[in-house]
Amino acid sequence: MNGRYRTLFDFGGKTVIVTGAASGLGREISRALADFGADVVIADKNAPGLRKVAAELEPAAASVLPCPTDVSVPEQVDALVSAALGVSGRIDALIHCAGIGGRSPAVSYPMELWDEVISVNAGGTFLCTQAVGRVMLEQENGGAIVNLSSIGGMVGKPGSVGYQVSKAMEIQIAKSLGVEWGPHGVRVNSIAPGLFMTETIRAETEKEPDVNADFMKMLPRGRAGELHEIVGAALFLASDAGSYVTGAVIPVDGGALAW
Amino acid sequence: MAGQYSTDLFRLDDRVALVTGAASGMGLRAAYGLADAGAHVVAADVNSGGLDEAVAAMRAEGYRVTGAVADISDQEQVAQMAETAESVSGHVDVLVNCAGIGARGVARDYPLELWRKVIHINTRGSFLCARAVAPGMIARRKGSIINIASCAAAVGWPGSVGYQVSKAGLGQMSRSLGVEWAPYNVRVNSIAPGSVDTPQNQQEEAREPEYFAERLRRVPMGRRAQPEEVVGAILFLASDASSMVTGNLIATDGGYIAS
Ligand SMILES: NC(=O)c1ccc[n+]([C@@H]2O[C@H](COP(=O)([O-])OP(=O)(O)OC[C@H]3O[C@@H](n4cnc5c(N)ncnc54)[C@H](O)[C@@H]3O)[C@@H](O)[C@H]2O)c1
Ligand SMILES: NC(=O)c1ccc[n+]([C@@H]2O[C@H](COP(=O)([O-])OP(=O)(O)OC[C@H]3O[C@@H](n4cnc5c(N)ncnc54)[C@H](O)[C@@H]3O)[C@@H](O)[C@H]2O)c1
Repeated sequence: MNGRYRTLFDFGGKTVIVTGAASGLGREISRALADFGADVVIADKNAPGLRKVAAELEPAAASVLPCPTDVSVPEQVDALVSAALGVSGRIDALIHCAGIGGRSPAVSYPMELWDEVISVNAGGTFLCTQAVGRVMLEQENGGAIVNLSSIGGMVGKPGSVGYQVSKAMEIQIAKSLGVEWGPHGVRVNSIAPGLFMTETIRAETEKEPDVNADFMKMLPRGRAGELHEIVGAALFLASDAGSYVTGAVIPVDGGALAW
Repeated sequence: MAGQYSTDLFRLDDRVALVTGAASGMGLRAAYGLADAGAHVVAADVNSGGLDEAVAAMRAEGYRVTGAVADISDQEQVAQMAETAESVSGHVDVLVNCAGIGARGVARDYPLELWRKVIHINTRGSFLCARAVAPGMIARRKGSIINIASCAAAVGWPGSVGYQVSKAGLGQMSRSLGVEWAPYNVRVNSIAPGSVDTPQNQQEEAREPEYFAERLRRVPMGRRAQPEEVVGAILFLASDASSMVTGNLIATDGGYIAS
């Protein structure tokens, strides 16, 4: 069977949802999926940003469907899934990148911030995973779900307890459902990014220069990741290349965790 | 220097230890264990009848114990509980976050209400308790907070995504707070029990005997733990025996996570 590996990372004829697609890592992953021939359904609560990304992707992608969605609202997530099903009748992959930060010292951490970051990051991940999982469990050949957690969900750093708890929850969603749905052909995994200089992180760094300077010292490679360096792990986990991988966490962190 | 060490290393004389979930199961055993080590125990639980019984039984045996009825998911009740504990002798040295609930259900149909409730009590409630005692601990540069998480904080198993996510969040909370409060000598750790023979576990087992039998088969030590088998880890983490241990998760699971 020569040549069987040539299509390992193929997304031709596959419908893929990317959340958080209006910015940063989600946008970059959407670009890659378009290049790889996917029908891309992009979701974000930032509707104007989403339209811009859609326009950019259109020439490359098989098709692009922008769906303004707040991932923490069940009805909106259901609407997203219905819209995605309109493309080809199935959903092959979900790459969930929507998320927010939540920095504040723990002693005075506002409970509103705690509730928001848990609801958007962990709750949003669960809602999207559950809604898409229901479709994938019923369809032939299952599907693949990938969420973007953070190495901040695996190790402690001062000053963002709520965010880090929410990210550990996202990792656990991948482990729990990776195990629960793996036998039924639905794989669930997580990517734990280290530091990537997206607009959001750039703005955060300008506000609190020391935070990420400390973080940089953790990095054996001595630099933040370039946006394109997240793409490989996402395409691996979302495609047939990752067919035996479920319930796993892949750090893409320049070696920070290992150091 | 021979003779430097004795079981005094694990003593808690003159210390005040606040235990939530103290009316039943591991929390009740923890209360006895901490009291045996010399601590004045403040036993808290939402189940006032059960708590009265537990406190009366301990007093009858000559232990110094104060009861505090509190729902850990209610910020005001938590504040009152912390006040009661502080009023014993002006300091709380140890907090054991043991109150918690189970929440089984297949992920496909996992009710959003159950998802919210289990995170609200197990994760958010434990955070509220940690936050209520932390300012005093930080001011005195001394304290140990112990969160009773679960194996489910580290590995996945089918049929309880919300519970597992709540416990993974609790495990991460220990890492985040452990690192953030390390400079103040306030240590935060978690314990990951496997299956423990408590009322919570017995009820769940009666409902799903096959599932629990399967889980038991996967425990290298081949049996479930008795609730008192978690006490050793609690006394280690509560006392000066663990003075350099923080942000950690100690499994008392018969080898489950390791396998
Ligand atoms: N950039 C990093 O260094 C880094 C590191 C670790 C983890 N992460 C995680 O990766 C993911 C993407 O990060 P990023 O840096 O690209 O962030 P970003 O801020 O650039 O993009 C996140 C996108 O999510 C959207 N979003 C936020 N809340 C939403 C909601 N409720 N519903 C729908 N969309 C919503 C935002 O509008 C935004 O477009 C996040 O989950 C983040 O926590 C990023
Ligand atoms: N038993 C096990 O196999 C097992 C395994 C791993 C982890 N755990 C965890 O260990 C802890 C103790 O478990 P257990 O088996 O002893 O349970 P248990 O049910 O015997 O005791 C739990 C106690 O917590 C109290 N509680 C529940 N909600 C509360 C609230 N909102 N406020 C205050 N008190 C509340 C209950 O009234 C009860 O007395 C729990 O957090 C549980 O999740 C148990």
